Amino acid sequence: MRHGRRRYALAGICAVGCLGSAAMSSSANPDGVGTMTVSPASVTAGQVSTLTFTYTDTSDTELKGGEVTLTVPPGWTPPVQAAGPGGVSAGCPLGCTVTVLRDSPTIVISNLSVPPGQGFTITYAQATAPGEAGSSVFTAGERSFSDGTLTPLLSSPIETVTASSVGSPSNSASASPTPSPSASVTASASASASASAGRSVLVSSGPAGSPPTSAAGPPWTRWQVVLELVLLAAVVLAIGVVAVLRATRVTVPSRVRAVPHAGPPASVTVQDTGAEPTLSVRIEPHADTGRPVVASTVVASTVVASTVVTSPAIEEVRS
Amino acid sequence: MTDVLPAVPRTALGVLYGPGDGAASALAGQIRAVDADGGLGRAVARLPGAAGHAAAGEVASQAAGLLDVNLADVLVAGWRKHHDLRAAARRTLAAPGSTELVELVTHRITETQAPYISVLVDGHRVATVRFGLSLGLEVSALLAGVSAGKLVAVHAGRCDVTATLAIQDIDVVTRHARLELPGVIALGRGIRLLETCEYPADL
Repeated sequence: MRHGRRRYALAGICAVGCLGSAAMSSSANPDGVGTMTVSPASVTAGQVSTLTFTYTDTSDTELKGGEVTLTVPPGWTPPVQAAGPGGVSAGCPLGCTVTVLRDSPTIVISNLSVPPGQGFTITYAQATAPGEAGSSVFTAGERSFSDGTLTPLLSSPIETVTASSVGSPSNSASASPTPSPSASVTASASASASASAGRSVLVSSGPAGSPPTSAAGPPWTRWQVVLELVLLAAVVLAIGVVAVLRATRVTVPSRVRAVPHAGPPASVTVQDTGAEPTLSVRIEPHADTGRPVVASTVVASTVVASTVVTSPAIEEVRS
Repeated sequence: MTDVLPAVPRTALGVLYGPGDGAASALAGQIRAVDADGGLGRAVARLPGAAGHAAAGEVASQAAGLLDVNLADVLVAGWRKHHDLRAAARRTLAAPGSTELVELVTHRITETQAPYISVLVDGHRVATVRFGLSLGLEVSALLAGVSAGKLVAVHAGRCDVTATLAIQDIDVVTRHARLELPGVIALGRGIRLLETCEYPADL
């Protein structure tokens, strides 16, 4: 795979923490744009259903060679690249690549091309919901170009899991068994056929090695609950650390510098533009001798108006 | 009722963008507009969002510093080249204690500068933003005092300033302003109009 798994895992971890900075960078950074919704928006605990995620490019630029990622949260059937429970599929007008990371429940849609205002759908088939009620956030990320930065969407789709009416949530889940290797993942694009290829959307599921869901695995135990809480605390801590690191980098972008240069020496010229010549009057103080003083110095090539005065002497010069 | 006189710009930046702190933000917008598809735009777009904004703001801030050219310095630089003032300076230098009142011919002083800003990311230059500052100062009715080879007084005169700024060789703004010269130039003990070597050691 072209992209390292570590980056996708990091993207999933920092998704929530990065939301704030992504909002600040909306105009300069073309990544992290678009919206993603899920249908149906609500399922009952342990229910097996097919979720359809719809991504729409809300920017005024076209996705070219980018990616969209979707992360399936813990408790859900892990996504697989085959038909069956958890199967994921995508259909793109000009082709795209659908991948599910092996060690992370993350779906990667790459080599996407989506014109502005268009979108595509990702189908997550035969997915078993967690056995307990709650909200499941399917973290979604996007980068518009192949050399962009995978950035979480401002709002990731949330699936509401309501309590089951039969038995306790921890024991009554009726999900399908552990996904078989043949499960499939499909996504269908709604972009027009004229859309150019290249932009990709990355969808990733929960952290690698997430425990089996209550629906697909054995009943929940106290230790499993504790483990879930520990994992949740670790994720929250990681999110906080990433957010702090990013905030620090935002306020002190130490690796970016703008260095001013004065350039070549300034050129200064002066040019007479008036019709009246310069008039200069010189005042020369002299000690009072009691006699008139004639200031007769010629100081310019043109007219010199000499005056006979007593001290001080005043001389007018026209140049 | 008290009339509030508009602030007189003393720098090229003030002429171009008026008084206040809005020059940097205005510059940032013009740089973005001129360089939308240029090296700076691409470089900023590759940076993390807020860092990109910070870089653009830093470029604008540095540009404002480069354009903060004191108009009095430009005037003095031009007058040091004006033959009539230099002649008056030499005459007064030759006649210690004398003073000349010089009603200088209307003249035009022009100055051009071409500063630029390098944008470095991790020490590597990713973009260069070039500026072109052109100042035209039409000085009329100037009555100056010259003594001991120095400009010692500006009794009267006005200056019509035209400032033009180009970014990446594209003119983005041209503004005009008028200065009443008395009080604009800090004369201190006089401003030398000649080369240092022409003055005696004690002056």
